[in-house]
Amino acid sequence: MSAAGFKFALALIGVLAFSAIAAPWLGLRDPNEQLDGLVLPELAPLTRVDAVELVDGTLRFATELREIEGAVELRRGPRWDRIPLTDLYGGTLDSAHRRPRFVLGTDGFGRDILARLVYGARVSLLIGFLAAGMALGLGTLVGTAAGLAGGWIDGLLMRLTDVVLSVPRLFLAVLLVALYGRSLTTTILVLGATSWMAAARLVRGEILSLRERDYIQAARAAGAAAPRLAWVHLLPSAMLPLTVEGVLRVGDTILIEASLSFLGLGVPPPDPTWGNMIAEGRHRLFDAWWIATLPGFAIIATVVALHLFGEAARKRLNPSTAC
Amino acid sequence: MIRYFLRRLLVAVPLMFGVATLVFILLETAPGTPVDQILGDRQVPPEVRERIERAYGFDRPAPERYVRWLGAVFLQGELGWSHSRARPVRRALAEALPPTLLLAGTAMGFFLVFGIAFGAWSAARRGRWQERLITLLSLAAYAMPAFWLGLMAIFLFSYKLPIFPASSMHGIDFDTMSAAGRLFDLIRHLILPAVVLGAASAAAMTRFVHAGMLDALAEPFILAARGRGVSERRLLWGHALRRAILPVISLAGLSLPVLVSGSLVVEVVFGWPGMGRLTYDAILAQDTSVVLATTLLATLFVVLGNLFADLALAWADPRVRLQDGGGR
Repeated sequence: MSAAGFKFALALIGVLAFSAIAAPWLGLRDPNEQLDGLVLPELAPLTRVDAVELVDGTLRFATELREIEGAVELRRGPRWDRIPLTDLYGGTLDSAHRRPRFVLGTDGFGRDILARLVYGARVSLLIGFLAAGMALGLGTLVGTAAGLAGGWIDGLLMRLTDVVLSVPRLFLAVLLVALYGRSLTTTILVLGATSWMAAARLVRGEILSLRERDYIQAARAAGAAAPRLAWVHLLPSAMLPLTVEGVLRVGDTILIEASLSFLGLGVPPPDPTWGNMIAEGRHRLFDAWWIATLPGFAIIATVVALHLFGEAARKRLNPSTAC
Repeated sequence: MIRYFLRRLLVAVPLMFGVATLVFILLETAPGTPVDQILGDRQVPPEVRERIERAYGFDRPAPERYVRWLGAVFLQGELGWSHSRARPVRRALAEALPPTLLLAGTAMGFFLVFGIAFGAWSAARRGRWQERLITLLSLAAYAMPAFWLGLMAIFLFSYKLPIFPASSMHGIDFDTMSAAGRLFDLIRHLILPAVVLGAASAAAMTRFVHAGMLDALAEPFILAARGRGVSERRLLWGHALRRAILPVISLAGLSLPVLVSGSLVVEVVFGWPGMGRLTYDAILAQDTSVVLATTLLATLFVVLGNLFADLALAWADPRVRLQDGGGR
């Protein structure tokens, strides 16, 4: 991948991370608030709706507005609501009339999809990074123990790695969630517990290749204990490939989280994740395609960016594997 | 070759054993007891609870239950009772297996053919826009959740352009169709889910073959062949592709977990009556014995797939079987 691709990936990750962190201060609507169950559900992207601002600053939405003597009437679904002019901001329809826009439309509950996507990035990225971090930690632990101890401990740990690796990840994750219940915490733990294997193999390989080097022998002769040997002398050189593995793992994890959410085993509603947004939009696909479609693009963009970044970093570390 | 096969088998059997052990440990450490599962929300006196425990052997110590369970699963194929489908788990699995095999097999055929074709073609067009397009598309396909791609496929090809049916495995008038009509009907239902299921693997295969082709094209034997006046076309599709295609066998084996995991969501999206759908229904009904059985079966697929890929590679490439202790 070219340098332009790398920069693009970096910029995309930056924008995603920024909007995820700064979500509450971006002036978005509340992602979980159902503002108006009659007017707002399933608005197409870029739709503007009529609304009037009241004296207290709140908005009232309407499919249709008409002014009658001393009041305005708002049509909401089958009914007309009457609001006296004195309740309106500025006291006249003109001064109170607003036309708020829903850039990416709304879902079946009238919730703002843009806000849900951004807040969903929060949840999805949080899960992705925490689970990948946990996987790296676990993998490093297992790999270091196996690589340093050798013998039957190594054999046992590596067989365990093979065993976990041979269960299809989604099935394993599904089984775990089915057994342990469903929450944000279990999602992170389950995803971390099912994706440490590559890191373990990587760390073990690195340690095996370094174990007999002179500087390690010297450290050992100087009386360094195993933990110190691992932490100070061996792991630093595994750090870079491990980071690349971690970045690629984040993308994978986001994909699996989406699948779990889609199966109804991820983060419980109403909190938005990209996966459960797609799941909610699934049954309204033909009438409101944007509900299920847009979060998919968010997932693709994120995973592509992480992948490009990881590949570029890997290439920089080891130019011979460039492809 | 036979010795190599036995060696591989010797790795595969303990692996399945280990997976079963892992699953047993997970079950044991999960909150709640199996009796709670059976009873659900019903309130019963403690004697009844005890009777159930005794009837199912839950009162025995864990090691004894472990041995009994292993024996039941591996020796008798006894996987318990599915309360959501009201039949033995074994029967539910037997019904769901053929559709899944059909779907996964078709997906595999799809991704092999298209992955190799696209990979080779984009390598042939190296440095041009076609290569960039294929690279970009394969990257996007790799990053797509399978269920989302399935929804998009349904929206585009079942709704906007109604070419393929959106759901299920047969049309409603399947029973009255002629044999040819049935086959056609099945194929029509099969295409969308198989393509969606195979898409991620096709993307991986494309990237893989592409890279392999570029490596092969840089080899001296290509230069030599070019010097002898071999046409560019033959150079690509004959010489370089033959070189690049060998590792595809192991990649096909490695893509099995992806296909099996993918079938879980793809079958749900397309209402395909296979193992994925069975698992999903079982999750909703909290039918753990089914989830357990499908997990074990999915793992068996993966282990067998890897075994098969190893064997195929050893058959195709003598270096592998000789290197891996075959000489002893």
